[in-house]
Amino acid sequence: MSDAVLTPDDVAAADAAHDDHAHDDHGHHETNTGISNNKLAMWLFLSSDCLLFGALISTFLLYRTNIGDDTPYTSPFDVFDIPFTSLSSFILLMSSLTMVLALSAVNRDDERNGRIWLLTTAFLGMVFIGGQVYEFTVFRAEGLGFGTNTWTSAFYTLTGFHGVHVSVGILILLGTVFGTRKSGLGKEKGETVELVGLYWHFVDIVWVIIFTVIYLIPIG
Amino acid sequence: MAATDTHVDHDAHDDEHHDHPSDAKYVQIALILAFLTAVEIAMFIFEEDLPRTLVKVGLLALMAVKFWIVGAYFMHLKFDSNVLSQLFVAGLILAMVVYFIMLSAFEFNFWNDGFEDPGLPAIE
Repeated sequence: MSDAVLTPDDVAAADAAHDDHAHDDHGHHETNTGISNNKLAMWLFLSSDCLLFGALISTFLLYRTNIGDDTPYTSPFDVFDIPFTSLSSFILLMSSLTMVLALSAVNRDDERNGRIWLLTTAFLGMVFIGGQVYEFTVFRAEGLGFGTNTWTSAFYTLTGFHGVHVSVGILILLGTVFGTRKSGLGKEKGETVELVGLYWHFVDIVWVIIFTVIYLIPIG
Repeated sequence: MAATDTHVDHDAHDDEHHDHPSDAKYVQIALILAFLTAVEIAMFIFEEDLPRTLVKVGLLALMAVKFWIVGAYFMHLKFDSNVLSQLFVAGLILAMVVYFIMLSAFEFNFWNDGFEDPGLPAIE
């Protein structure tokens, strides 16, 4: 053991060295995995959200042929408006593009374009939700309510939960744009926008599955 | 040892900062996604003219490709640490396990084999 006594200057120098080591150039703490805790937490959340949607899609698949119970329909394709839903899917897909362009702009410290792309993403999300509300309204008018049969319950629960995810995403996007008016949306907010983007892209890939499995794949 | 750990930490940290695609590349990726979606819709429209199995397998394959493209490029899994990919794939596998368990329970009636249904008492 050394019996050297630490002076205040030694402590200050050690603190400075620690600070240099423990923070990266974005001011984040280094971790054992090399991934920021916030990002890891978001991926854990998305991974667990897979289970929620896995259970809802499974339930729908089990009941996908039950549309005829208490309704005059023999197949879900009697009520689906595929051209309309395809357009909605395309809009949501393109919102993923605007989201990555927003992140790219923020990482370039291009605050103005970052905000424009984030707002565009939120707008496309709103168009998608508007389409979903329209679809639900049409189904309701055709006599397909939430409790009409097991097919309608499974359909509304699955697509409704996805719609809630999109709506939450829109609120987060708007919160990011308007909540940073004073602090700015520069490069230092890159990770925040990246996390918002991860959530948004997840919502998009879940719809990629829903659109194919529920709306396109033929029964039987 | 500590020095080695620190070195590993920096390497892992550097993994997070691989160059992401340019904006033009993102637009190209989005166009590919749009094209794949158009192919999906075309397969649905011409479903009657194609073998049913081909339609189902084709649609599932296109879905998987679109899923991979969005995950790899838009969610940056291709450029980030492998830990994140493993985490996400673990969630997907668990979700599929949930589906197969439900399928075996409700569709194949697997768990009821060898058991007699005790029935429910009549409500008077």
